[in-house]
Amino acid sequence: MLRFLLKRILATIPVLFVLSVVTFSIIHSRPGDYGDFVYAMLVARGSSTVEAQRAAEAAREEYGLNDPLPVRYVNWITGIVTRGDFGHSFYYNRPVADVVAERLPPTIILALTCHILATIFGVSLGIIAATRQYSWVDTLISFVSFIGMTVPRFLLAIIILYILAFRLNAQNFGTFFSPQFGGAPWSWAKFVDLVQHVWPVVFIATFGGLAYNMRVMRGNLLDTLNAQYVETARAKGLPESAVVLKHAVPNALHPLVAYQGVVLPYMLTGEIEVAIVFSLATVGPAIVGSMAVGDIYVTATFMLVLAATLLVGNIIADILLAALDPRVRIGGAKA
Amino acid sequence: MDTANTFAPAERFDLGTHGRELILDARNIAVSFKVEDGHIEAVKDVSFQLHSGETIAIVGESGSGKSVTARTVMGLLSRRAKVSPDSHIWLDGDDIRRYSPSQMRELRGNRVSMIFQEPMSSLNPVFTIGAQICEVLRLHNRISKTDAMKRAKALLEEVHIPEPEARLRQYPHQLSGGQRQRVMIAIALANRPDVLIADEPTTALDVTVQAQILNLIKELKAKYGMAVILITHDLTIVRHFSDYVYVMQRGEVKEHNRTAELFANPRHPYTRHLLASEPKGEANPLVEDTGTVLEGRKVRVAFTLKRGGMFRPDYFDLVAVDSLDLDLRRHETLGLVGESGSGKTTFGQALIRLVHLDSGEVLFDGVPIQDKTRRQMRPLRSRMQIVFQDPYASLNPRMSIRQIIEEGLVVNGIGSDSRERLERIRTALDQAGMPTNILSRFPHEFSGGQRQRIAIARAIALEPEFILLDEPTSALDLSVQAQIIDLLRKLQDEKGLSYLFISHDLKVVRALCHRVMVMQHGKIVEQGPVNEILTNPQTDYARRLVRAAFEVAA
Amino acid sequence: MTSIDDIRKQAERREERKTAAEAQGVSPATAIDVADDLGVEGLVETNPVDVTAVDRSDQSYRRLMFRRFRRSISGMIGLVLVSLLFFVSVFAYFFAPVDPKASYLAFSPPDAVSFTSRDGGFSLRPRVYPTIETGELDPITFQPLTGPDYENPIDLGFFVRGFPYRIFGLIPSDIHFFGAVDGRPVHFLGTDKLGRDILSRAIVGSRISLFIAVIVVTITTVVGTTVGISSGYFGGRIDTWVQRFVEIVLAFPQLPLYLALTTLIPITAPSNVFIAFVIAVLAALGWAQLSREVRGKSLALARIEYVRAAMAVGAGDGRIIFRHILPNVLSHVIVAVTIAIPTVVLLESFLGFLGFAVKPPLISWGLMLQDTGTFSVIGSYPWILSPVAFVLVTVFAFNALGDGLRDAVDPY
Repeated sequence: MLRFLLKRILATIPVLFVLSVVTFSIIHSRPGDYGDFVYAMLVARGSSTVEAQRAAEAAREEYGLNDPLPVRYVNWITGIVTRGDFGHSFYYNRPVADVVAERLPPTIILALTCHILATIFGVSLGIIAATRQYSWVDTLISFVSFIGMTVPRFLLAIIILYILAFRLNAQNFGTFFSPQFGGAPWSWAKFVDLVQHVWPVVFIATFGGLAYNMRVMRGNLLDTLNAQYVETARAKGLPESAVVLKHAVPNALHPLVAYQGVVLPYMLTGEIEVAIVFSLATVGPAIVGSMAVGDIYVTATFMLVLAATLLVGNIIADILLAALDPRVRIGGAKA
Repeated sequence: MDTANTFAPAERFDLGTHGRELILDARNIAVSFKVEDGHIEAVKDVSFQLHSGETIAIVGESGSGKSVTARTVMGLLSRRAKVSPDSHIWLDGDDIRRYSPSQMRELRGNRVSMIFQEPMSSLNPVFTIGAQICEVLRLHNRISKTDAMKRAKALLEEVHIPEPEARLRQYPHQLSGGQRQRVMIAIALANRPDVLIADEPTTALDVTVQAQILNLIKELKAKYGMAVILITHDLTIVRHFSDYVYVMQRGEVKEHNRTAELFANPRHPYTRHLLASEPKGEANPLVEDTGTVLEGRKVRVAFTLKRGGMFRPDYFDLVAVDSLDLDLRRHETLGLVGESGSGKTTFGQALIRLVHLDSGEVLFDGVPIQDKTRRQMRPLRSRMQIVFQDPYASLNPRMSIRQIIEEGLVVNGIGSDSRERLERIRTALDQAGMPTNILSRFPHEFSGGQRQRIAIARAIALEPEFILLDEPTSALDLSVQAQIIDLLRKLQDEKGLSYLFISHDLKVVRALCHRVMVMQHGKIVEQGPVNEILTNPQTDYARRLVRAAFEVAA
Repeated sequence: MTSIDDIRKQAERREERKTAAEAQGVSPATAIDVADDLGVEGLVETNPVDVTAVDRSDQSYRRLMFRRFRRSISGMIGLVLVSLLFFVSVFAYFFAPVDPKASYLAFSPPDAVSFTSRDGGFSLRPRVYPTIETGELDPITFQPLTGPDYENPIDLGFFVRGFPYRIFGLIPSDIHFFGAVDGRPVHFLGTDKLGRDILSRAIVGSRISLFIAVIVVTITTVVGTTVGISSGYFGGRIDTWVQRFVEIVLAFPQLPLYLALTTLIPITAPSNVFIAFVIAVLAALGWAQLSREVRGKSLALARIEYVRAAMAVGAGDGRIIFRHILPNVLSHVIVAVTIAIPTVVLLESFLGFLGFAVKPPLISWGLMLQDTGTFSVIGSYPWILSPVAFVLVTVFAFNALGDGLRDAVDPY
């Protein structure tokens, strides 16, 4: 088991390497850099163009923006590998690692929560739909799933934002907590407050994922219910509920787990989209913001970290599949 | 009910003359299915009776409704099935058609058990063998888990599975098909049922394993005084294992009688037709030595496979064809016989270069072809053709019959214009026994046997010298099988074809082949003229094969 | 079954069996279900030479698919909507009531169609009371107030004369589908911050949005299918290396990458270059998933008996790919296309919302959403969100069509 894990982790390294090169190059190819941002800011604040130019040049020197691309890349990578130093954020004036550490956990927790909720609800609804095929329940669930998969998440976010802001006069977007709870220790009230702030994100991202899971589960279960071993289970005299839940569902889950490679990025993207709309302090807005000002190391690091997250997610999915399916765990050595 | 059919009254001819107790009495079973555009009457009016300690066989081809009948007894039909209210099934005096669902559930796996055709998929892949056996025990009895496991082990011993203790903890995919079927039998017999329904229990198994399983059922039946309903299409099995036979066709019983009498005196035309469809006859008489058309020397084909779990992968080489020689003379039919995993299909396909050879030589008409490129092989292709086993996958569903047969002609530049090609296509179809007005139709409009004829027409349209027949009749019903065998013999006679006939069915081999080679695990175990091998096999394996095929004896 | 690859292969094999079943032309819903119930292996065997007993008439595979499609409600709705969409898009200027580039009163609310006349009576002719400045000032903000002008109703009608345009860029015309009888501007969805009519812009904007989507999807489909078939059919080393490449492409977090790539597009570039860039960006990652799926199907098809029969007959690779593999893969690809188009439309709108859109004088839905990011604007003038409705309808239409197609092609 350990050897497998090691092998997989080693296999992701070249992928990450290529990814880092590509993203780094892309980010650095953008016209204009942080120096330009400094220039624009100073000019807007009334400095003369000459002064602004000088300040911009100084910034460039300080942050090594005048070095050629490969040099910058190598410096960055060596920094990561040897010191764990992901570079410096110009905009926040802090180490990038800090920025990431601040923003990444909420993103992952949110995405994971949405993912878990979407799985639980999606699978349950899928089971219900499959066992009541052709009934009105099935049609209703299929319709809901269709809506869930077609309604674009960021549009839903905009609409909810509008309703919240102007019909319900809600306040405090863009934060996780109301001011009074900011630094307070955890309590039930704080948790409720948190939920009140993040529920749109969770709802929207979950809804899309739920629809997808339900579709897949329903399809798989319908297939599984036609399998011979299901008939065997009935022939033993098992009640129908046990036949479905104990025999059919575990087998129907396999393809779902194998599909995690597709679902995870979907959930992550959804979370990012919605968070951008709501300006919640997570990864999404950070990427957009940093790209707008040319805070290159922040952008590059986030991309790398996101890619790594996805790859790790795939590995976890593989392990989960092995846990579920004995054929994957133990090879077939026919006596 | 076909009231004019006096060969199939509702009651058995030997009812009341039995010494045994009547355990199951089914009357007027009628089942219809709701489909997209209407209803299908799968079973029209079927009655049968079963006594303890005996085996009755329900025989029929596809569409006969035999499986539906069996499932009606168990109450395992889908929601779209409607059983007529006039149907009655008395199990030991109670009409189980009037049972509530919970009463039926108590019955299943307890007093009436069923085993199915596909051992590979009959067991749930995510539970251990032990868990699956214990499930049926604890469902109908109050016993603890430990006691259930002990009983499970005892059951595995009863069905002669070696190392039962270890097996309990294993998963289905770690067992072979025959072993899985034994486990199924253990599960079915766990609660000592009164009736065992076996729906084609051995169709998907190798012939030697088949014999073992059937004899196991017979042994256990005798031991526990069970009654067995055997559903099958194989007449040899019927002859050797059943006491009474019901012959079904299109949802009706056409005739029933005691086994010996039915085979000696078939009365209904369908029964006669069925019995006459057993592969019979023998190969055309051979002319003297006319030269070798296909020769293989030390042909070797190996695959690298992986086993071991995800966490401990382990590669090993599987030698499918282990340095084998073969020579096929002109106008001859050479049979290549073996069970699954013998390598016969790989060998055949390697000889016509559809599979890559690792080493060895293949000579076609004296010319070595093992190293030729695709392009170099092309001119030879029209001289060697192939007919596959699966009639449903051998024809491209998006091409018309004309396009399917024409493809070979077009690719090889045979026939100078469209009209000449059409002539050839029509001739080929005619020779294959199909009408020639079907050119613009599509494969899905035809049945399995008809598709196989079209596949044969595709092969002979190129006027080949040699045809590789890869189990061409295995997927067909018995009566259709007989027709295809006759067709193949006729074509060989008319066109002087040479056949390499791959099969696992010795009865068909006997009817068609001149010589036969017996393969096992990639090696040739025995070879020689067909009559010699089948009447007087020399090696142990060949002997087992012959006994299993013709007497269903293990 | 050993590794995860084998489970994927098992899923592929299920896919293969589905393909095989579909490839066998067995009508699944009836044949297989009933077959299982009846314990039948396939179609009922009739007297072999009595072909007249087969009572299905001359039906090609395509016709079977059409029949199945027609039975799907969502598919038919989708088909109607999509056709409507393309029709309106092609004749955009005909359907737009007002010149999309002309400026009027900024942020004026949508004109309501009313059937009442000034004195409250009912009249069959629809009319609109245009919005004008009423001459009063808002007591708090001191901005001029706007309200309906009951003095000057605008009568509406079909096929009215309005601003001039050219059909297909050639034939000059000034007839519009619906609008003011006297050619005055009517704003059914209000105006934006520059006073331009939203409805007309949305209708005309559909051209660019749909154009980008169609081109992007064409590219990704062609590339994805080609890569998939080559990889699956030829196998071997090509396959291994291509798959590694695809794996890397798929590992990219998509949205952030699109965002990054769009920043590459120089702001000052001329519109055509800009569109080409946007198309390239969106096509960069989209082909990978399709290539995986096509590869799976090609792998299965390369081993199926009728392909081997074609090889046995001497057919070359080209012939096999185009006559045997491609047609059986095409159905899956068509479904993928109808699902991909709305994804691209959405992406374009989202990127526009974030500020990365085409530049005027071009109009696209993404561009129209560019200004909707600020809360205050949405609060006061919610109608500028109307392009959202267009995107929604487009997404819904294509997904419904795709659903219907999928059920027709792969009823499992």
